[in-house]
Amino acid sequence: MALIRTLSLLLLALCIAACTPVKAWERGNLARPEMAFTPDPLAKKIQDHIDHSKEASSSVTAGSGGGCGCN
Amino acid sequence: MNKDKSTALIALTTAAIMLQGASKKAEANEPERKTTFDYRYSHYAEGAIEADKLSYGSADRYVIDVNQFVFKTSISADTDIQIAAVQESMSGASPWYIVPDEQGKAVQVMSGATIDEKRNEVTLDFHSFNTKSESTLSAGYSVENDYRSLSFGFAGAMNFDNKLTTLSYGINTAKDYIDASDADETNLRPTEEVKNRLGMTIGVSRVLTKNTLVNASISYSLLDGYLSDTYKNAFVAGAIVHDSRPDSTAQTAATIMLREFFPSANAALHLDYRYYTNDWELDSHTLELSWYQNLGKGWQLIPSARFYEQTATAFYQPFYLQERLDGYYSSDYRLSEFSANSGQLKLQKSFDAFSINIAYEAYTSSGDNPALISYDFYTLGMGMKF
Repeated sequence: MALIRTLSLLLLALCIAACTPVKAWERGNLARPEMAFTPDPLAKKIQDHIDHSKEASSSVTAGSGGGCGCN
Repeated sequence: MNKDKSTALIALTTAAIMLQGASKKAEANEPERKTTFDYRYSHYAEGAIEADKLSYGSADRYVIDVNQFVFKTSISADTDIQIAAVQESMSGASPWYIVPDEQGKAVQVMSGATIDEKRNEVTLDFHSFNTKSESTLSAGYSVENDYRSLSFGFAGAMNFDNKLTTLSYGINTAKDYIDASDADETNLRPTEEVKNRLGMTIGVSRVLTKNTLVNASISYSLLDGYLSDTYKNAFVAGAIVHDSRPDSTAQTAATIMLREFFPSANAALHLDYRYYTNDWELDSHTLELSWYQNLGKGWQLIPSARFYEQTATAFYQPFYLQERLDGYYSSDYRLSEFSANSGQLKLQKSFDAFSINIAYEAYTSSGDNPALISYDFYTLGMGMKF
């Protein structure tokens, strides 16, 4: 829980630090493929499936398929 | 003056177009309207169980080959459709139950027969969008020898503050049908069991600086029905009993993601942290770091590392010297206390309408359960735009 609090405060600090809005013409780097939250959805899907099958912390997002293949 | 206005307009239009690809996660921008096809092949191979941890059975663990296909196209000015399929082939021995050896140390009994299974999955997504919001309806079906799963989901996103902030939300549900193989032959395994899942998630993304994106989300899921493992048993005071877990669980996860671009290095840093907890008293922490290094001429090298640790569930034991009052028993290594580390290296080459990438990952885990795994993972991906 201490780690969660620390990360939350860090996130809040980052948000406060970014008080100056980023103009539309300044967002070129944000549009780069490597800046996407999920640059490779297929790779993330198989990685999440492995993690879910081999560890206890499931990660299920909206619309994701079920199935096991986990023994 | 006219030339200055024209130049400014071109700059604004270009930036707006470039921002459309800012995030693949649900954010309310109009996506590129192209037809795409992606394919990925993956080979997963677990390391053999060590001889001093094996009591009886095959030491060889699971080997899995996976083929993934995704086709996406526009069906109208504001709607995309995506069809995805997964085909898996699995073989190998599986952990069965744990017994104490002469010194009281936990040793693993593995299944003797080679398991040879196939799983097929198909999913369908309908995605609609406008300048302020987007939504996706999803349906999925997965089938293998002993397991069928039907799932549905809805996800949406809205943007605010001149697209600096995006609120995302989703709800999903699934119904799984479990019918163990060889039920009549092996200790009367459970058949015709059902598992239900209902989950929801909410998140917010924010543009912090011209090089920084951050996302925070939280999800909550409820599962009920048959949650035990049909193929695992437990040693309880000299007897072998079925894996038996509670018939419901509630789970919560919180995730923070940071994306930072470094212009001087022409590279991006990904930092993801996830905290998970459930009412079986299992907590976990996951930290993932990736560095996307552009090398020029469409080449990109991506090293990454993942650190994971979890506590054990309240009812887990490698073996039981006496019966539990609640009747819950599981020696499944996935419910034990352990930590795991993995490292991956990925190389990608992108052309105008085609990209290809290859990656290798090595994973190891450590803890007291004798069945904890290590694995090697190789994957090859290709993508085309039309």
